[in-house]
Amino acid sequence: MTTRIVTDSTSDLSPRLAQELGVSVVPLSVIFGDEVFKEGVEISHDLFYDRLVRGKVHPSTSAPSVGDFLEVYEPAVAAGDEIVSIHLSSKLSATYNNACQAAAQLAEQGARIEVIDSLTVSFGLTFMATAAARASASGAGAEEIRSLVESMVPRVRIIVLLDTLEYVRRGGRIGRARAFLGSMLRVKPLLLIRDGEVHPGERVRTKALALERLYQIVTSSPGITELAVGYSTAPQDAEEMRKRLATAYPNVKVGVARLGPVLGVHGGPGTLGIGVLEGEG
Amino acid sequence: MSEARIESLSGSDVLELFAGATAWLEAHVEQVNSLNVFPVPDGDTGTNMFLTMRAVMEEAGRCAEPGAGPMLAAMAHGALMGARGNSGVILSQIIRGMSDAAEGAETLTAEGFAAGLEAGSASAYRAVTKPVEGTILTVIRESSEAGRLAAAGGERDIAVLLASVVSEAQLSVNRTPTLMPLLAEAGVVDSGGLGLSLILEGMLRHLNGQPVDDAVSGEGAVEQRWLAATDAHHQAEDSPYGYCTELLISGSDLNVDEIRGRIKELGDSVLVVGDPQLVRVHVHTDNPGAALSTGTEAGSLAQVKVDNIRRQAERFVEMHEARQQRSSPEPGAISTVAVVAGDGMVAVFESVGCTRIVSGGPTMNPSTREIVEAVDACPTEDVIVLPNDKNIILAAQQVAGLTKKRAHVLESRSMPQGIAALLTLNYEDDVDANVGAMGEAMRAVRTVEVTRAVKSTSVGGVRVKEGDIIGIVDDELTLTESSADGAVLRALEGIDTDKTSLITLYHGGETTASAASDLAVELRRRFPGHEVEVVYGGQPHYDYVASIE
Repeated sequence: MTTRIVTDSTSDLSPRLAQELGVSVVPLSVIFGDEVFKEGVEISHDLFYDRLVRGKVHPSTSAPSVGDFLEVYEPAVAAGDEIVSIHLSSKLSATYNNACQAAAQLAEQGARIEVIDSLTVSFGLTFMATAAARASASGAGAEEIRSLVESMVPRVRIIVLLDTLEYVRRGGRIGRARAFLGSMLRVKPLLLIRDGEVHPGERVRTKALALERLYQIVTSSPGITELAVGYSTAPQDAEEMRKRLATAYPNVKVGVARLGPVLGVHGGPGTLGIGVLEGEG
Repeated sequence: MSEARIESLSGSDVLELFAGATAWLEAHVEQVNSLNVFPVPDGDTGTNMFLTMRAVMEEAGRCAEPGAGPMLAAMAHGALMGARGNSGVILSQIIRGMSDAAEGAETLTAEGFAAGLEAGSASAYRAVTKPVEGTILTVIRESSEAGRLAAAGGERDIAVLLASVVSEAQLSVNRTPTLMPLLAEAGVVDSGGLGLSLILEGMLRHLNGQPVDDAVSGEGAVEQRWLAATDAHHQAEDSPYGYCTELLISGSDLNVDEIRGRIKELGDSVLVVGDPQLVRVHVHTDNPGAALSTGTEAGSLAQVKVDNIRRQAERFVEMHEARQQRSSPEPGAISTVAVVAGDGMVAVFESVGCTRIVSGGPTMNPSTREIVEAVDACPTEDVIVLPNDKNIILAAQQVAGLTKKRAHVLESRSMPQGIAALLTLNYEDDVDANVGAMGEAMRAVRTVEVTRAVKSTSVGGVRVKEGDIIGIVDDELTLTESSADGAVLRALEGIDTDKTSLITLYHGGETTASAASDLAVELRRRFPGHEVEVVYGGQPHYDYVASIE
């Protein structure tokens, strides 16, 4: 018996890495008008961002259905495996809720499925799914992996720099950052994802200053053990930030990933995000 | 005091006189406010005038000299600093005229009082570029004329002289609708004029030993309750009827219940009150003619007022929506108060989430009290105050001792510094961390201000002639130029731009947007590597306020 790790596509785990780690990724969907695409499966990132910027229809997003989860869980359960299923913040999406329902259905048949609300997105999920997969590979059971992942939840910080407030405004999933809307000055807002919600951070007037502040905020974190840089449409900014961070933290792995469509819908083009995993204690 | 002749007033007598005026005005604030021509919740003349008087009394209380002249000088100063709204500004000019006329005087005589009112009238007219009759201006002119005649007739008793002034003021107020069609249309008298009349009346009541703090009796109370009752109907969402109709029916044997019954058939929001001699009627109806007929059948019509409520409601909704859009939600446990001048600047501050704005700036310093009030009105315990001007920092710093809240004053010296501070506010951090970060952000902003010299002088080696265009960098006059554009460019070129990346150009009320965008083109050419943003500031007197950060 092994413990299977499941996450969702907002983890921004590349297909290659997911395969290497043996992590199953349940996709969320992005919807343009009446066209529904499973992200990372039915629409490429390039095509998505092109449509986001040029298209007339602003896309929306939707969580995987209970059925989508059953499809992934059932074969594992049939093989007698346990499952740890780690998902994006329940305060931002119905994904976690749907996973719980699927798990509850299978639990009636005796399956052991631990569903975890990561209270984060993107790299936060990457950190957790990766750690979970490694623990599983070294023989840890569902219970043990669950407590490992839960110990990571309060140590993950995501700081996001938006190029424009337009997309977050259209998407509506802005939480307390609503106060940022309507500024008469051009501002680049820094948002924090913490406790599962989007919180307003600072607002910076220029991109140069904003990148500087982003760097300062990240480097003020205590005991960094893992870092990841994500971008929607500006890989050069992400690469420069990665280099700076790699220089500042020679012993820390700094990953770079492209943000998937579901996050891209809300952040828009020009979004740059950094995930920080702080050490224990 | 009511028995003896009053021939002269000392400084403390003047203080008491004005205290009576202020109390009497305060007791009638709602009545004055209710006279707004448009049914919108702003521009409250009564409140503005009362707050101006309160500023007068504050300053008067600080006056340590015994003479009437110095007391009036202190009051004039208080009025100047605390003036709000057009009526408040004109009131402050009237007090200033009284002060000028009494300059250095130990006591104020009847003659001096009359001369002061006349000087006040002249000063008030001078303060307005296009004087309009049927306003507070008419009331001060006509009532001061009555004072002058009484003095010329040899009247030495101030109370007697003031009685003729008040009597003329009241008549003058009642005539305002004949001079101003808007008032007649709305069926009201001029609110500023009434405010002034009440101030004079309060003085007279004080001299006569009558109470000045008790408007909720007699006529006033009936009036207030009536206004409150009809107001309640007007605040209600939408009426299916088109006209608000009000009648005052007089007669000898009026049947209130019968009139009410007939009025009720015509519409809703019906209020019918009174006695057999006098009945007041309020109804929202599509048929005001039928209401009038009901009145003439029952008795004779003493007053008639018909308003188109749909239009009123539309205006109200427009204004209300405009306000809604401007106010930002306030998350977190920290509020902010900023002193801001210029309609564009106010919009900028509101848009970046400033909780409370105190209007004022380099040319209109708010009183400490105004800032205290703004702080007190904030929903949180911690309030960060941004004075945004070197002459307001001290006033802002007094706030800490005067409010129950925790006021944290950042020494912002310009509006751009205040904006930079607000943008840095992070609701997730505690107030101390924010005060530190906001202060740092603020100090990284350098400010250029371009205006015109108001007098010829020499400052820090720079010689200026009255009317010259001058450039001020971080509160220091650094240059004069032949054009505002040239002043902005030269001032910015004198600043180290190694570590800066953004220039923001706020153009004033007198500067056109196209002139500002032309200047922005030149700025982009001369400051490569900088973003240049042009924003309408609407700040008074300053052609441009520019920041570089």
